[in-house]
Amino acid sequence: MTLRILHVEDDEDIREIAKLSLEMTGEFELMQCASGPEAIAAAPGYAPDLLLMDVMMPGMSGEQLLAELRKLPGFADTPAIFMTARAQPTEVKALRDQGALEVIVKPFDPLSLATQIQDILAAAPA
Amino acid sequence: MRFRQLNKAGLLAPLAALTSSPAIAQVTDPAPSNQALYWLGVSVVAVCAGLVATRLRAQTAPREPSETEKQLAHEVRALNAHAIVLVADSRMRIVHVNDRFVEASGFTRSELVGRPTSWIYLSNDQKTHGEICRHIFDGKTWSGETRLRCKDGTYRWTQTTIIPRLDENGKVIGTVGIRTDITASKTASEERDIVSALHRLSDAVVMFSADSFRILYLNETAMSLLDWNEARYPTKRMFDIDFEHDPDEVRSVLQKLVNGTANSLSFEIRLSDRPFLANLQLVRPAAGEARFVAILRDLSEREEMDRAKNEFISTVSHELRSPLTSIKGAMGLVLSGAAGEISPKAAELVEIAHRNADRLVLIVNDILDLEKIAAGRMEFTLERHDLMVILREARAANNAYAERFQVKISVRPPAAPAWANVDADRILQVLTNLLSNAAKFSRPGSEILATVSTEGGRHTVSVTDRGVGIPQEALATIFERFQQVDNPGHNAPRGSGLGLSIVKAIVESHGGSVSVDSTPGEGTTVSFTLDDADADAAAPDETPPLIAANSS
Repeated sequence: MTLRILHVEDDEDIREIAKLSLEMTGEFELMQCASGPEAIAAAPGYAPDLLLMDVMMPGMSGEQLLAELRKLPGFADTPAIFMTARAQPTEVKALRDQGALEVIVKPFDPLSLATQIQDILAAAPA
Repeated sequence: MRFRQLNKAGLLAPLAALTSSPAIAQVTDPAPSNQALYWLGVSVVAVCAGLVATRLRAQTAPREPSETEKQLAHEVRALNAHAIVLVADSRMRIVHVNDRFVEASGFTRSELVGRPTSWIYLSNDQKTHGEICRHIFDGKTWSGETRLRCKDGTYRWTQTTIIPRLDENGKVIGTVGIRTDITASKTASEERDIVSALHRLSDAVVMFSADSFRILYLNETAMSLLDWNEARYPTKRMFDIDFEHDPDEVRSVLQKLVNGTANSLSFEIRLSDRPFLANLQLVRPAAGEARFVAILRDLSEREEMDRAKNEFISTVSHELRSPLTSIKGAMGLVLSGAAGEISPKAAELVEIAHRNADRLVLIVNDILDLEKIAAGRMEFTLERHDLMVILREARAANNAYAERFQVKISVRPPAAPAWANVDADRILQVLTNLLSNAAKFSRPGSEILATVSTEGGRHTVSVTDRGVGIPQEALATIFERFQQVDNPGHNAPRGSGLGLSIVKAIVESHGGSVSVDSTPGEGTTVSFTLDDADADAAAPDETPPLIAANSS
């Protein structure tokens, strides 16, 4: 069974790399959005198993987006992972406090991204 | 002799007779105005004329001088006592100088007479002399300040009036120059200018007694900064200045100047919540008490510029990460075969691009780290750790890398666990930097030895390689940014050139220090120190009172 990921990332090329990296394993299926508002509009009709979000996005940040998504029915407990270039310990802690499972640091390795996500999900409390 | 001069120089000999009389008094009054000098000068000529007539008359029919003549003679004596007089002929050659001239210039009369008048001017003042000559040959009087060249290489400032002597047809037959020494007032005026400039300096100037620390002087900037006016500051002491300081530390700094172990000291302080660079010197004036002179330069603007620069670097570096993520990701996928088979040649080229993208990521990460440390934004989570545990972890993380260079990493533990309060991730970063550097520069088949030792409340962690070593001239700059030592024998990938700068910054942020010791051809040891978490609390600083008798 494939894992449904809602991937929100404003950089088109990074979206493409992430899609290729994850889908080539055959274990993930992605819906990709370029912004927070686009993700809020698309999320209810997709019912993802995982939220994979960039942090620094114009208009609405990843943190704001997660807060908005959490308000949607069925999204209160959807696992969330952030991808960011900023990864100071307090920043990572703030993102975890927001309800994120983990933070993946950019630039990520496309060949190990899938494993990284699986490891995070495996380590998450049930 | 004087008559020969009379024959040769007309009116000049009697003047010489008068002006060669000794000065009757030291005159210290300020210089008379130019106009007064002019009339004095005119008087000299008039007196000369009068006395010549008197002498000529006296030769034929001796008689007592008249009251007017006596009066004029007194005036000439007074003038000689006060003024420096020079008489020149129509070719501007010196024919006479008075005693004051000899005394002021230090030249003898025979050294002066016969010389061109330009000879008593400094080489830089020859233009002025030319201007004076033009005035004189136009039949005009010249007045102004000139410098009289002295025999000892110095000069005297003089208020000068030079009058042309004209014959009955208005032709210039010579000059009379009258000078008043104004060096003292000129020097005082220059000193006033210096004090005035000091007072208005944009840097704050604070002088305080080396004995009592009493404030002796504040310039305007310092008064405004400290909010103490001229009436208030003399009641204050240096320690009343509210900069964030530890009095013992300040005393210890001042002591270095008192002991002569330093001539001047520079350090940063904060005052009124602004950063200042303080430059401190001890001055022992010939008269008056020894004093410390502190010049405080406001660094707010520089700090703001640094902040803007760091922010810019940070933004640029972050912006670089997005395209780098795509570049690295795309090439990684191509190399993995995710996009289909590619030819070995193409794979080789993509591999080169991929490797350099990795290097770029490394540089960007290192720049960001350095920027964070410089801006005080790098977070250090200090916890009690056994350094040996971190060292073993670093070895495990770098073993694979070392094997690429056929190098083995060995560790030698200390006699007892080496506990230190450190951020384990950052110390791991330091050790990774040192071990990977050592591996890159090692001879294949050699061993890297990493040790931890403890002495005097400090742990020393050392990484020693048996590599090519670092040339002596490169050692001094090895911890500076973008310094790389070439290693022609190896095909190791180049680093960012920032690794050792980061090592130094991280270690210093932990209160430690780094050092390097290398012998070209034999190898290099890089060491860093960290405080022992189990050492007794440091004994209080026992710096002796700065000047014990006067520290109250």
